[in-house]
Amino acid sequence: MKIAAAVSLCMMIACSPASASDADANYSRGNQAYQNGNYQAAIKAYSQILETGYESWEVYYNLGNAYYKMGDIGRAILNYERAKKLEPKNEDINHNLEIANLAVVDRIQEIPQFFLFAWFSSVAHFFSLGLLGGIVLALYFALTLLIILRLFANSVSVRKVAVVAIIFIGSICLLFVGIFSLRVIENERRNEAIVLANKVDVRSAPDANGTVVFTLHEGVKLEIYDRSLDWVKIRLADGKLGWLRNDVIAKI
Amino acid sequence: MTHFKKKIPALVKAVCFSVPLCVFASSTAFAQDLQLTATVSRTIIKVDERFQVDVEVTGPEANQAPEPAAPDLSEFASYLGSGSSTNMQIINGQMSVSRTFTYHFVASKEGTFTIPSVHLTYDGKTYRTKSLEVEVVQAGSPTPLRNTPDRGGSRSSNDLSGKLFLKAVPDKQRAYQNEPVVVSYKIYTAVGVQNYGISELPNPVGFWSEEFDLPKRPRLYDEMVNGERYRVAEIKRLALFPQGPGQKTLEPMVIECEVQVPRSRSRRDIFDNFFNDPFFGRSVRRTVRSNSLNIDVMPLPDTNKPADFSGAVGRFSITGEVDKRNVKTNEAITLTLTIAGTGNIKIVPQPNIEFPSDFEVYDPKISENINRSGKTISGSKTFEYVLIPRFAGDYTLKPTTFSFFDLSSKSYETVSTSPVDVTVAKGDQQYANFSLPSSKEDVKLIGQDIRFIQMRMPEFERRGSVFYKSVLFYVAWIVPLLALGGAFVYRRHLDKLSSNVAYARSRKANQMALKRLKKANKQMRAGNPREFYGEVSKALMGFIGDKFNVSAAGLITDEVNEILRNRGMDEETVSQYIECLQTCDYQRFAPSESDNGEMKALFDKARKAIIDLERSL
Repeated sequence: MKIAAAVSLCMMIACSPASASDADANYSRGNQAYQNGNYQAAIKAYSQILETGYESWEVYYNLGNAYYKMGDIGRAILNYERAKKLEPKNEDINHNLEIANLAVVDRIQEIPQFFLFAWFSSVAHFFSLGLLGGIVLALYFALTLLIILRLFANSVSVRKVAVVAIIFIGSICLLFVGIFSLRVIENERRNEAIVLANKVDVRSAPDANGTVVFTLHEGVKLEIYDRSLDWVKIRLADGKLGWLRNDVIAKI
Repeated sequence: MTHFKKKIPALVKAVCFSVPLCVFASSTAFAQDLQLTATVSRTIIKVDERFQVDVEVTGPEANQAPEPAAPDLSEFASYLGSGSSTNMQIINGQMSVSRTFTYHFVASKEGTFTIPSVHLTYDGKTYRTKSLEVEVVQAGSPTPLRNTPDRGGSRSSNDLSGKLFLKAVPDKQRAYQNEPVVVSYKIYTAVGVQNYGISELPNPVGFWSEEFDLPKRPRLYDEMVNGERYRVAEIKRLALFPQGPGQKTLEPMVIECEVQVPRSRSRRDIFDNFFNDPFFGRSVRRTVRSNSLNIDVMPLPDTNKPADFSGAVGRFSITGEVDKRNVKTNEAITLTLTIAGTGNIKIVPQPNIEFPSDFEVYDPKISENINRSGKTISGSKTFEYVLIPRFAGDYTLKPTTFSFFDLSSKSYETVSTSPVDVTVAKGDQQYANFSLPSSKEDVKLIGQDIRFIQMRMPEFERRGSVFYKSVLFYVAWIVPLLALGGAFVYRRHLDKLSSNVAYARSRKANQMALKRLKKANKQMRAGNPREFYGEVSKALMGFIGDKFNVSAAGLITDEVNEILRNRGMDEETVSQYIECLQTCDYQRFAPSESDNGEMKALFDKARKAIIDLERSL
């Protein structure tokens, strides 16, 4: 944890401090505009932070709020989802995302998972990816120190305790390494997007004349599977497949 | 139980007059207490006709007799079931008891057969009946007049063929697939039919059948057939829809009638006469079969067959109506689609309707109304759809088509509803307020708003920076690994030191040599040449001793020379080393004074010799 914080701190220091203060200014400006009800200006200010190459879950969250107030459900959900990706367990994000999702026209029934998988998935997603990395590293450091202790301790009893601790910390570390690897793989592979257009036809082929398989409305979350020029192959949570033009969606 | 009264005289008759018509068997087991007699209801039986075998037990204890096993007639008849009755009479003060077991059979095979004797064991004695002979004839053959004694007075049969028959009359012999063929079943009779029951319905294989509703009491009318007047009653009317092309056969229908027959003129005996009295009614039971039917089914033509044709044949119409044309979003509209006409209305499938995609459509409520009276099967099928428009706008419900084969024109026809325009106005719930569509389930959140923005200044990070991809992350993995590696190597070194003397000495050799040289240096500064040379010599000897794990105490220069050469050291290093030793030996024991310059030279030489040796090891 400490190490993760330290790492992020180091990286922050490494980055040019001038733009970071710009980000602070933009953030304050955006909040001010939001409070005055000037959502358009707020959107502009928050977006500037992102354009200068900075991000934080709060920026995405506030941006989502501003879009929601403007009635742009698709972009609101998109930004809430982006915030959630950085901070998966935040209550505010989940609450607002839930409310925004109520305004989505299409109700998509998620295919229920086997309960063990569902349980495991919720455990694996309890921590954010960065935090998980920190935990894994901390455990790894602790394990290393314990092994060194075991090697050089003079007292037999200390060495015995060290062995038990190594087995214990080692198994926890292995578990976390497993979860962490899964999350990294998922993070690299997962390609989710939100429909931004009001209403889009999903076709059976990447072709404007393809048969319309189904219709989606703004705010629906989907998964991108494949690409072909301007088209993407998508899959819904209920398993429906089809092709969409890639300009009507935005990646989370 | 009146017929038991008649039993004794019948026996007398059988014995005394030997009337051949009255075949009947009585038991030979005239025991003092029980008497067993078997009779069969008729001796000439038609195939498929029912008959019964009665086994009568008489005697004072007859009512305690167990039921005898049913005769095994599996050769020509199937067993249907049994029953029993008990009769007690007191005649002239004498009581007689009789018990009758009745076994019902239906004949299944032609020929002459024997009903084997029935036996009964009671009180240790076995009683037997005589075996009986019966003849089973084909169903159509006239039943000869001679028959069993009319025990019930109701089973004798006259020749009724020609006076009673059943006709299946189709309205057509050739039909298209799914075209209804109306078949009427009519009883023609010149005798009085009291009652009838259908014992075998035609099994319409290859047809889908619909029965017409007929009045409970068939209407009777007269019809002349072959110059004879018959009373005719239509007892059943079916509409048969052939399911596939080809020659189809409809099996005959079988009915059983109770027929009033004219009084028999042959007065055989007083008892027959008595029971033939019209007062008791004289009726016979007859099995009547209709003719079977052959129907030639033609396939429907393939030319101009519409794509949505689903097999409906007849004449149909379709109407579609909505209950309101102006609605608000999320208000329900009911679309009622009715397909009506004559023909096989039941098989009309749910029409394929294309609804606007913004309408939520629920599964239709389907109701049927079929009219089975009259000469044709007609009716209607109604589909009620509930539609809920989710978005405002003008929508058009596209016409729905329905195709059928018209029998009158012998061609396919397609009918369709007219398009319906529906205007959907925006409902009261404004999208900007984010009230929820009514179909959503999570209603607990109605009226709630999103939570306010985050005001605290966040810690910004580079966009797309992922911790696990950073250099630091990799370094953080490698550093402990290196530390661990180092720790292991060091641990091994410590272990070796503690367990291996040679290793420990060898590792310490440099240190010891340096220590001694340092001492020598001190002696040099103090100006004690003898001690100086002694210390240098000790250092050189000690180094060899430590390195090669030999005792330095007794070591002499020649031995050192030998050890080093045996190790294959190079010549120069060895000679340099030996030279130093020899100088030390010489100077230690030679009285000549040596100055500091000489000592310094040797000191440097000895140090170099040790370092060179260490390197070449």
